[in-house]
Amino acid sequence: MQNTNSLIKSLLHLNVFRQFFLWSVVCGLLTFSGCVKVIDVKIPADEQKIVVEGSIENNVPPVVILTKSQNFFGTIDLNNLGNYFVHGARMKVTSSDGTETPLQEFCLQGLNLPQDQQDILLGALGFSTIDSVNVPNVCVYTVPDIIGYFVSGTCAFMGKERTTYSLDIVSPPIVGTDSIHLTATTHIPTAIGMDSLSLREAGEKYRDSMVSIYANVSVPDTFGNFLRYKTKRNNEPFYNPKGGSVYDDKLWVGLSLALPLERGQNPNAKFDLKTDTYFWKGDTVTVKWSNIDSKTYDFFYTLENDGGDSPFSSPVKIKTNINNGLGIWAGYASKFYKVEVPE
Amino acid sequence: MTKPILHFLFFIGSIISVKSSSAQTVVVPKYTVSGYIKEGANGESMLAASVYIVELNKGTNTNEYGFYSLTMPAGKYTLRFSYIGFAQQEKKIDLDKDLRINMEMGLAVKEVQEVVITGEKKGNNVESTDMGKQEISIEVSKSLPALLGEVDVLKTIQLLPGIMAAGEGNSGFYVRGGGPDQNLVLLDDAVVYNTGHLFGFFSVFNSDAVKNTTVIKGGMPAEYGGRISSVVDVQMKEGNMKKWSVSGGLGLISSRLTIEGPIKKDRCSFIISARRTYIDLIMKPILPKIGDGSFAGNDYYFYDINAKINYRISDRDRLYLSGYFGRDVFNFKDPTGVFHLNFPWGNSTATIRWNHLFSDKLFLNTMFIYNDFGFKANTGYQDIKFSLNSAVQEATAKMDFDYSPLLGHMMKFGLQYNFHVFTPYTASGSAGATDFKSTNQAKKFAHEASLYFQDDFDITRWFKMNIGLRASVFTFMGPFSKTVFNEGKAVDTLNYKKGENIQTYWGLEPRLSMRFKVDKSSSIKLGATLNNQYVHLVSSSTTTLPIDLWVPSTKNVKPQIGALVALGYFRNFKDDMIETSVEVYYKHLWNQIEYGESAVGDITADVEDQFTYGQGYSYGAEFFVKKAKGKWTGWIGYTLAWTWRKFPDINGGKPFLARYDRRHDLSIVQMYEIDKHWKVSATFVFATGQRTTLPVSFFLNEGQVHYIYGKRNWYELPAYHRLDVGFVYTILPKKVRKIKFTSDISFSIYNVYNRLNPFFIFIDAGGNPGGGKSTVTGEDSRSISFKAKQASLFPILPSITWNFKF
Repeated sequence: MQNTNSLIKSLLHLNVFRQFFLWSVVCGLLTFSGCVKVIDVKIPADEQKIVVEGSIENNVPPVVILTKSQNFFGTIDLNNLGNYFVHGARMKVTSSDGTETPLQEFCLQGLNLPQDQQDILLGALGFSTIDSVNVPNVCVYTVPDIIGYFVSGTCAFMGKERTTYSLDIVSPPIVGTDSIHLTATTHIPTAIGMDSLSLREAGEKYRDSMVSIYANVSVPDTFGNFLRYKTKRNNEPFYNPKGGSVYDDKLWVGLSLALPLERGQNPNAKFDLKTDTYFWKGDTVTVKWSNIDSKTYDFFYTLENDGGDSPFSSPVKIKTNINNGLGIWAGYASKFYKVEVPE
Repeated sequence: MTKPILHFLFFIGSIISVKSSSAQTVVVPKYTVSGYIKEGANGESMLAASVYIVELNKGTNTNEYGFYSLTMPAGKYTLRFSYIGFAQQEKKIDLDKDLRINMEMGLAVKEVQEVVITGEKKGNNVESTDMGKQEISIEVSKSLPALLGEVDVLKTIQLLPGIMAAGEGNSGFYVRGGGPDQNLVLLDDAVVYNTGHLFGFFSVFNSDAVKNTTVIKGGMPAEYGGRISSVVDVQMKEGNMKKWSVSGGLGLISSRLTIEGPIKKDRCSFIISARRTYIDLIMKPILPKIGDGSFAGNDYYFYDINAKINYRISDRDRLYLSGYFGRDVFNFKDPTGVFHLNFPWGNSTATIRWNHLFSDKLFLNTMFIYNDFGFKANTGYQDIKFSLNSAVQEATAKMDFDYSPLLGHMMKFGLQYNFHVFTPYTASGSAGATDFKSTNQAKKFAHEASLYFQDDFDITRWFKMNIGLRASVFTFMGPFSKTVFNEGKAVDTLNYKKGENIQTYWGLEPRLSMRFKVDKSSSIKLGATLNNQYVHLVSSSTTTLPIDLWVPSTKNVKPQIGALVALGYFRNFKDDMIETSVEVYYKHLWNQIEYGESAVGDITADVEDQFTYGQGYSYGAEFFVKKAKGKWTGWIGYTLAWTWRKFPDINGGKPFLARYDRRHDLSIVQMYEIDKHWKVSATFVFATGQRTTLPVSFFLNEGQVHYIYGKRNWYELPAYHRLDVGFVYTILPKKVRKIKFTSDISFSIYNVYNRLNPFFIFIDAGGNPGGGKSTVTGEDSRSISFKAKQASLFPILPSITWNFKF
């Protein structure tokens, strides 16, 4: 597993590097010429596909969000999510140890959760609340006793390390009358974790208010370990580091070293590039450090480098482990590390 | 494959034997007249100057070193030496023994200030077997309007039909549907692997050091090999043999200085030419004041140096030493001092050439060439150091023979050997005291060798042929090692010892072109060529960048093969004042390489693991009208073309139009000499928009929008068109302390009517799917809207350059 500063890491990906190159010069030219204008492009309608956003983690029950890919027509109002989520699918998860559970659909508005729990749930799913009136009716498929899990922290079917999980979905049709059968398999590997977190001085300009956080890692000496990490400040949700949340071990196998962490930021807020690698003094920082399998790595690696936010990108087809659909069925072997940054 | 080649060889053999048997019937003794043709003013060799035997209505052209040879029956003849823009000279000879006649050509008085479009002899385009070949004098490039005043031969050749610019302001080019790596770009016979400075906006060729550029976009003769689409052969000046001379220029973004002169008059000369941009120096005080000062750490410049020594050892031997060294350097320093980047990249070439005349009929050019292209990226963050490195190096030994056994035969044969070293992207660095490096550190070594023979000969007065065959072999050899991964796990390790043959490819490459003369001023030509290419550059950008990597043929990467068939009609009007041609072609490309649909370009892996392979084909028609002489000169070129690619793993295996498919491509180039002070020129280009792949739908993951791209290159950008105008004001020569000082001022206006041409199009997602304040509107919302946006690069750009010479 590996981790490093996002800008250095970005050099490992030619697409990102290529974009950096072009941006650095062309954007300078564009800044001076200022020649960006809106044009009409007739984009043909694309066949809608089922998209799976599913995960199973050690000591956490499986959660699946089932949606449809969307065409670029007009403005898509996500407050009206009726056409976005796929309702009424039949779903089950089977473990390699022989256990099995059906997944049941829960919609937020039907749960009657208190506001703070709604916020936590939405934040975990990548959504945030705007106001108490306008809560998006996010729907997830999960174990039938999910409420029990929220209350007691445990339930009948939860992820276990070194176990493979199969997901089987029968979705209602998008068009026509034939239902859609989707399958996927993921593996929760061993949670290797890291050795420790350590603090270092920030660059001179931010030294008074911020620090760098380094992960001290001992990377196993055989190839094939993959990592995903997220960070969390105080009571905020976990956010992904913008420079990339997934890493393989090709550069670091068998080494013990300390590498800087990037601060995960709310993807919907303005990205703060200048302090991206720093954390504020006085914060409590939690790092979620998860080992994943190669298919999960491939999905997030292509997703995070698909150039969706860059005009210079080459088209990258996002890999998937879903048969007959898009998205990911991801297994996580997670460990959590907390550090309080002194004032 | 073997059968057609055997037929072809039999065909060559039968033609040569027919010619040999007919030659035996000649009883009159034959003698040879040979010599060198050079410019009187500075002693520069003249390439493709014409030597014509008036009595026989036949002639020849000088080779790259200004040498010609004609073998004819004994008799009295008139030799006519000519080169457009130079005074024609005639010499009567009594050919009763072998003669050596060297000629120095002087500028034609009437045409002193004229622009010389090509160095062709009169009617050469109709007479020769050449197809798709153009020679561009550097004077043409200097007369045309130039982006930011930087004269660029590669941008001039983009104005010819069949040659497409790689993008707005870019010196990269595509020829008849071939990829950018399929062009053999030579500088004094050394291959130039990366032709662009400043990410391709300017070429590496300093116009002050360049003498001539030959472009062959089809019908490649057997003397050239290793690439499948085209040849761009750039010849450097040799240095003034007569007197010392200093020239240079001050431009908006760069300055140039050239010094040349005789080390020993008429025996040995040198030229050294240097160029450097100074935008970094101009911008340094300005950058900290732009925006929030985050541009302050940026620093970019390029420079290049060309040098050449030319020594005439004897009448039979001549030695040339030439070299090029150029670097681009980009630096960035985070204003807080924590993070820094440093990217240097560039080419170096060195060529030693020895011309030797074995006899008046046999000319040998022996070459030893070294060239390399290297790219580095060094970065640092606190105690983390990281560097990235890639390079391609090549050492070449080459012998080219020119043999003119009898009038009407121009034979060339030779052999070549290359040793290639490819350094893939290797990543290494350190974190504190721990060093790390990627697993793909192994360099790739390869040998390449080739043999060729070609003969350009008259069969009858009306029928001429150029027939050739090239045989090439390529071996990828050890030492090499590679870890094979499957789902991230190392499943195998390949280890090859030093010198071990890992993979060998070979091929026979027949080349044929025929000219049927319809009448004195028109001809029909037919060309067919088969070429092999063993080294490849794969790029997924809309333009080639220094980070794009050259790779050899290996077990997985097969040699590219290109076959071209072209048919042309050539006709001249008004005593060759106006030249016209129409050429149609079909080209098929095998073993084409692209990155796979999901390739992100992970440089810790062997890059070839991310390739996918397929075929390509292109076809089209090219129309060309040129006025080569007079006060008003110029040309119009129009191409109608289709370029397709077909890959099993892209686009579901269905054919798709290539990124550089352009249905229509029009170039109008006009130059007019108003008087002895003023010259005016204009270029207009129109091209169907480049093709690109835009997303067609999207999905959300963790609250973020991710695009689903449509079929490969499904969208055609809006059409590209642009008018440039240029003026050159020549300040007539003045003598200052016995030194003749000449200068001119060039004004260029790029994109006169300020057309906002599309550079790229992107889909901009506004709104906020996850909720919270929108990064675009600042409002709270949970909606997304998409807008297509077009970015344009260069608005109207005037520039001024001052050039001087003394």
